[in-house]
Order: sequence, then C-alpha cells, then structure tokens
Amino acid sequence: MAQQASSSPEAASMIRSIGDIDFVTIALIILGTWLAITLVKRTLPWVAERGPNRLRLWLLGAVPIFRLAATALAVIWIIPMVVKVTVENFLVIAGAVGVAFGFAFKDYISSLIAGIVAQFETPWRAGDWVKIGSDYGEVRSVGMRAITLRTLHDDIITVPNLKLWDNNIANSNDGERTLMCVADFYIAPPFDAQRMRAALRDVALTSAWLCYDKPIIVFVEQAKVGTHIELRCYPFEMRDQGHFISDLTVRGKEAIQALGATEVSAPAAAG
Amino acid sequence: MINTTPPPETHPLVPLEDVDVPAWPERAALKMAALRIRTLLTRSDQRPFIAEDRLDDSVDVFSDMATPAFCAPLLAELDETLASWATNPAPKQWIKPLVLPPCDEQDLLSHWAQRHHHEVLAPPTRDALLIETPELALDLSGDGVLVIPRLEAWFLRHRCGLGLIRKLLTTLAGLKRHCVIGCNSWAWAFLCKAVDVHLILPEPLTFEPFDEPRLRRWLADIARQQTEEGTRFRLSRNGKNIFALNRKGQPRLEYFETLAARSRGIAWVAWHLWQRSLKKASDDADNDLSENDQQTLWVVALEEFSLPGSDDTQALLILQALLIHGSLSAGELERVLPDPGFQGMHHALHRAGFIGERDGCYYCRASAYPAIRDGLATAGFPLDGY
Repeated sequence: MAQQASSSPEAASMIRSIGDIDFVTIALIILGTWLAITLVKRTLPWVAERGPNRLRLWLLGAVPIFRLAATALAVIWIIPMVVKVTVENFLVIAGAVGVAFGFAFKDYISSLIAGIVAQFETPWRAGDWVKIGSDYGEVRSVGMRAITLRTLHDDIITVPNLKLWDNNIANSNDGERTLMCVADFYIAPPFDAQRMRAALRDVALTSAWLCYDKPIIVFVEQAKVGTHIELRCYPFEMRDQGHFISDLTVRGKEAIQALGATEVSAPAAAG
Repeated sequence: MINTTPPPETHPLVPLEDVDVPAWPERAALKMAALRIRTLLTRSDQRPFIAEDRLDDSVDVFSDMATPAFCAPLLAELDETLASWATNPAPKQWIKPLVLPPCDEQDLLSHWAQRHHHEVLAPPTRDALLIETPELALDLSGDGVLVIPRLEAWFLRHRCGLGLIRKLLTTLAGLKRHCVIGCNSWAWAFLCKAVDVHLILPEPLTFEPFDEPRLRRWLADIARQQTEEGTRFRLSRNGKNIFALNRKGQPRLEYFETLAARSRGIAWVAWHLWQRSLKKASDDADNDLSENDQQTLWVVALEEFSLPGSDDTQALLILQALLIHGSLSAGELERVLPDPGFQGMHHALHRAGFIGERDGCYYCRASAYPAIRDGLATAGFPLDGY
C-alpha cells in the first residue's frame, strides 16, 4: 500500500504542468507538418504526371516515405514538450495509450500499423498495379490508413491498409516500370500450332506499345473448350496496358483468321 | 575567323557500341534544365497542341547549297572506312552493316554507292512487304560491292511485314560477296528485337559523333565555301563572333559545344539546326561592319522546342513510326499504328514543322529531331542506340 501511494505522485509528475507546456509551439509544429505533408502530397504526384516517365515511380514513392518521416519527426519533437521523458514514463504512457486506443479504434490503429509495415515490406508502392481481393488497379496514393486504386474502368477504390494482414496482394510490376500483359485466345482444333505461335509472336513484335527489353512468350495449352493460347508480353508504359492488350487482341484475331483457324467461345463449346 | 579555323579531319567509322554522344556544356545544361522545369511547371493541359512550337520560321541562308558539298566530309569518312575492305578479295567480314543516325534526308549511302558505281539492291514496294508468304526471289550473287542503303525499307511494323526482311537476312547470312548495309538507328533497335539482326549480321559501324571541335571545323569549312569572303557569324544576343578563339586557341563561346550536344553529334541534325539559327539582317543599317565585315550573318540562340511528354500519345506514336521506317505515306502510317483514330494528327505535326512531306510520304525533319527524341524519351518509348 505504501508503495502504491508513493507511485501516484510519480505518475502525476510524468506530464508536465499545464503552465510549462508551450501549446503555441506544438500547434505550429502540427500545422507545419500538416502543411509540408499536404504540399508534398499534392506537388510530387503533379510533377510525376508531367515529368519524365523514368522519374514517375520514384516521385510517387517518395510521398508516403516523406509523410512517415515528417510525422515521426513531429511526434519526436512534441513528446518531450508534454512528457518528462524517462524509460518508466514511456512504458506507463505507451501501455495506457495502447489499451485506450486498442479498444476504441482497433481497426483504425490496425490500419495505421499496417500502413507503417507496408512502408517497409512494400507489398505496394504508389504507381504499382496491384490486385487486392477482386479489385485491380494502379495505386494512386498510399495513405497511413488506406490506399487508393484507380481501376482500368477509371473507378477510384479506397482499400484500407488492414487488408495487408489477411489478403493475398498480387503486385503486377513490383516497382518496375512495366508489367506483363496477357491476351487470351481459344482456338478450335485442328490448326497449325507452330505457324499460329509464330504469327502471334509477330503480332506482339509489331505492336507500337511493345517494350523491347522484355521477352515475348506464346504459351499454348489444351483446354476443354479448345486450344488456349496466351500471348504474354510487356508494354513500355504500364498505364498503356489497356491499349496494348486491345491491340494484341484485335491483331491477334486477324492473324488467327488469316491462318484459317477458328476461335471458340465457351457457350458454343458447351452446346 | 572562319579562315583561321583549320579544315575538318576525316574520322573512320566507329562501332555503334562505342558511340559517345557529346555532353552539354555546364552552363547550357543548367539553362536547359531551368527552362524544362519552367515548361513543366507552366505547361497547361488546355494548351493547343504544339501551338507555340512552330519550327517553320527560318530563312534558308544556304538554300542554294549543293548536296555533295553538304555530304562531302561524310562521304570521305565512308571512303576511309570502306575503301580497303571493298578491294580486299578475301575480307574477314563480307558484310559491313552501317547504322546511320535518323533523319538522313540526303540518302547518304545511296549517294556513296552511286559515286563508286556499286550495285544497289532496290527495296520492294511497301505493298509487297505485306504479302504473307513473300515469293520475291532474292538473288544477291554477283561481282563487286552490293549496297543495301536502307534496311528500313525492307520491313513494315505490321504482323505480316517481317517476312521479307527475315528472308533477306537469311540470304545475307550466307553471302560471300562484299555487301554494305545501311540502316537507321531506330530501325536497327527495332530489328534487334524483332528479327535478331544483331545476331545475324556482324557488329555495325557508325559515324563518330561530331563533337565541338569537329563540328566547328566542318561548319566553318561549309561557310567558307558558301558565303562571301569576310562574312562574320555573330550571336544576335551580344554580337560576338561565334568562330572567335581565345589566346589558347579554344573557342570563346559555347555555341558549337551546345550545338554538338543538342544534335547528339549527328552531322545533318547539327547542320539543319545551324542553318535554322542563321538570320540575315533585314536592313543593311542593322549590319555591324565595324570589324571590316563584308557581310554579317546573325546567329540566334538555339531554341528549346518541346513535345508533350505524355499528353499526346497519338503524336508520339506517329513520330516513333516515322523514325523506325524513315518515311511513310498516310495509308502506310495507318497500317503500322495501333489506333485508327490518328487522321488529323499528322497534319498538325506537318504544319508545326516536326514532320516533312516528300512524294506523298511523311518523314521526321532533322531540325526537329532533338525535340522529337526528347519527347519520346520523356514518355518512356524505346529509343535507338545512337
């Protein structure tokens, strides 16, 4: 009992007295940090859209890193202004805050922590093309709580970072400037498979969107509905993947027709 | 000052891999970076396409200049590189691939072949390239040197347009005859990917890039031949003679260093930029004859033209296709471009001076090449190796 009585005044003395706390400075730090983050959040993506393509991913990726660094700096700056920093004080406050926030904002805090973990594990970066659940799109922004995706249909989807814990995340480019695109064809046998492969390879080779540094693969497998051919190749700019796949598909169909083969569709095959 | 500039030296061709493009002088590089940042920050998405980037405001000071005079140093370099090889009855390599920088409006290799009365293999028509099983017989046998001046005329970037070039390369691979093959650097980069031309043919040669001393000597030589004696070339900004040297014999101005960097050391691109920057004073009273100048030609600062980086993919796709193929008609453009909705764009590019038109075919103009290459590089397009 005597020990409990003696710890209360110590706990009370962890926080500085109201008169000693410089609220104006704290407000200025918070305001300055917010302004800096907002400025970087708006400026870098704007410059990235207009500047050289090779710098785009680098500039977009700098935004969340800057925000994390600025927030951490502000917190480190403010805490000693409010709390008398000792190891004991830190443990007591961290425990109290953890319990309070853990109950009140469990999911929110979990998203924030996932956001910080994501900065280091990098399952996604701004500019990457990712699939989370059934949503596929370009990561437009990486926030502390959530990321936003722009889909190929131009929808904006907000995905909480929380998804990091229990979802498979497919990253199509993983920080690179290009990604594999696949055009699928189903062809009714019989047809000359070797000539078909060569013709579809030429379709990819002569696409204006093709990236010269990456391979072209014509993958053939037998499926129930016919022969499935995947034309796998890379565009030089991943945002053009829609144009690229359309180009491959349209000209691939021409090549199939020119070789006298016939495409099959699932309903026809089923019938 | 032109008279004191030594005549140009002849440099043999160098392997393509060894090409080292002239660097920007520091001050010009900073100035250009500042200009680009300013353009980046002030560019409006609503801006009409390339409205203020018109290139067609030059006066042709050397419009009467004969083609051989323009090509002479380059033809001499081809001679120096190929003369002994062409007369060697058992050379190490029967085939000499030459990768030429783009926008070669003078068809330099044809010119060289004509001068030496070498046999030239005429390319097929573009329509013939699209026949899916080309039946054209390729008989390359014979005596003497065979020249294929433009390998880019032997294919079309179309799903059926690679058959003939594959056939030609297969025939060339086993050829035991002197053969010079010219190919522009953009087509070469494409063919390396499409038909492995770099594996089939030996290592290609190319012109050594024209750096500052070489460019200054070469342009001084042309100016000596084409202008009246006593003509001075002065910067319109400050009236300084651009050929002036300091006591150490170094140029006082960075003009030719900047020109070499902007043109990437490509002789004809530099020549077109140089010609575009020359102005005659409209009034004789404007001429500064204080240093016994018979005539003063004013050199305006090299302007920085820009193409939209990612704003107009359609325009960039057209320019890329023209660089790869050398020249294309409107119909051929439609065949090699992915989207049929480009109809109006080539007119806009032509009007703005980025592309020219000859015999119904469009081509990228040499004076616009630096801007075009920058635009394509900014947008992430695959580039050439020169």
